[in-house]
Amino acid sequence: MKQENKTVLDPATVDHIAELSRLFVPEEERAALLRDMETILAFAGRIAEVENGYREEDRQAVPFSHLRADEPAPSLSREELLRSAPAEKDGFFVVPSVMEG
Amino acid sequence: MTKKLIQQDIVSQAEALRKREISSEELVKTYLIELWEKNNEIGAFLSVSEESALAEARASDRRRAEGKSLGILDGIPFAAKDNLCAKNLPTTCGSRMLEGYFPPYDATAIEKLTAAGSILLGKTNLDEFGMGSSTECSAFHPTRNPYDLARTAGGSSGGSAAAVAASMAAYALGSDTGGSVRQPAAFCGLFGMKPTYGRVSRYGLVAFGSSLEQVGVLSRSLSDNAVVLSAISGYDPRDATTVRRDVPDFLSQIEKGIAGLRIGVLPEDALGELSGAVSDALARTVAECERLGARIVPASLPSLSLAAEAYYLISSAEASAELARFDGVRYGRRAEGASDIEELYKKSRSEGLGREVKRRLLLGTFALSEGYYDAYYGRARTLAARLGEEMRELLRACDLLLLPTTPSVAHPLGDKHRIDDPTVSYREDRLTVLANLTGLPALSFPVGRDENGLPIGLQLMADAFCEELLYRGAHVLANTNQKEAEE
Repeated sequence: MKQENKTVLDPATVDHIAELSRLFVPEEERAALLRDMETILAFAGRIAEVENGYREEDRQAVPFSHLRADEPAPSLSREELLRSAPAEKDGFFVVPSVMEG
Repeated sequence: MTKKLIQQDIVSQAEALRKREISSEELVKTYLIELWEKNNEIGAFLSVSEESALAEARASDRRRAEGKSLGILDGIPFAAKDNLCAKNLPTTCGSRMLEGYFPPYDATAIEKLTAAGSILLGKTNLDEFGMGSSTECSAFHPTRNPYDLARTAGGSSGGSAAAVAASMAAYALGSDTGGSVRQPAAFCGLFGMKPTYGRVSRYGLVAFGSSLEQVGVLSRSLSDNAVVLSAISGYDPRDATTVRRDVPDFLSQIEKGIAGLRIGVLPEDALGELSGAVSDALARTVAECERLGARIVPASLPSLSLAAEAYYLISSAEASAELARFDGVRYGRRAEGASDIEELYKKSRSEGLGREVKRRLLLGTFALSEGYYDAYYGRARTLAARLGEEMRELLRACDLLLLPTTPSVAHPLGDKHRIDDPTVSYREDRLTVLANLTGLPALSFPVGRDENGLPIGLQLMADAFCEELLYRGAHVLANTNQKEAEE
């Protein structure tokens, strides 16, 4: 549950959002980052002045003017797309282990 | 003679080409000489495609000789911000994450310009992934303001602005998510247009804030700006947010003047703290509007006071989603020595992404996370919606809204206060984010210089798809160096 009067950015929260962002924060950078994030949140947190009322109709960010038909069609070739691959084999992107064991 | 020509507008250059006073190859060579002379100092360009530019120039000359010119842009060289994909040049987005990355396709805006015969000279510097207001967040180097090399050219499209202001290109493309075309244009004495959302395709623009951004145009003259905007506008099936609307002649109203138009002006306290130079420029321009027969209408936007806060929450939230693709798997930087996929993601991203980008991603992820979504992102979206309603109300009473682009002129590079507190720059974006949050078109136009010779820009905003009205207003209100020189 959020507590609006408390500083929401304790180190545990920063660790959690860093994990969600798939970012690794080295020990020597943590203090500076925490300071920066507190400053930024103090600024952005002013949004609390907007009275409660996140309206469902505000949810859609942009009006889509149209969507194309859901039909498969040729796109870029496999060769073109693999050209920038850091590692590839037999037409696949190669990555380290995805699953444990 | 050619050296003077590269400082003139597209119409003059096209005329010189048509009359065979100069070839496109000579024109491009002259721009390249200027570029090589100045770029080390100014740092506008990250990459230059000299050989292919010259080859395209020769092709343009052949077309012209055969009477098959493609039009006014044929043979005219331009620069593009390095977050716009172009096949034969790296697209780095100013980031180590994409250093040396060659996209497999061209952005629609670039494709359209090259189809019209215009020649891409190179890619310009930017704050990393468009996140910043000075190019000091570029992973490579900052771009210096041609008017004062100790100052910023602005950001994030600082490289594009400096390239045009220093006559290293005839015009340039940028992108504007929160002011990133208009602010550098103001700092460098240029016209900078952010079109209505949906006017120009974002296909090939590396996404940062997808509901906010548009490809924009930076130019030395107003007519150049309109010509280029025409060329890049239009429905694109590859971008579902582009609208099916004819592209008008953006210069059609330009001779009509502003007599009888209702021009909205916001109260001083709504604009926030302005420097003396900007405040004076605004007052002078308001007086000029009245002198030219326009009616000044006091306007109000109550939600403007939280616009910057809403913008940073929304844009960072969108960035956290849009930059998730940079994971070291399919392209871009891949870290060494990762033992599993999770470690690959984290190491690649942490090594490849810079400090400001990381701050914004963390802010964005936080704003969207469970327990905070409604309080932060939700409220920001509500504020944006309210701002939209207030602007619609305003534009019933006014034809145009006149306001400053930035609170002050270009600031010095390496300002410790700004480095220590990132929100100093954030707050200064309040006047430009208005157009991005509401999707409305906005044009920054030059109105002279301050006592140190630094350019000042003001902004006009209009209703959706009314870019002609912006050009009409700026045509009589702009005070460019050219105009001053003629007086």
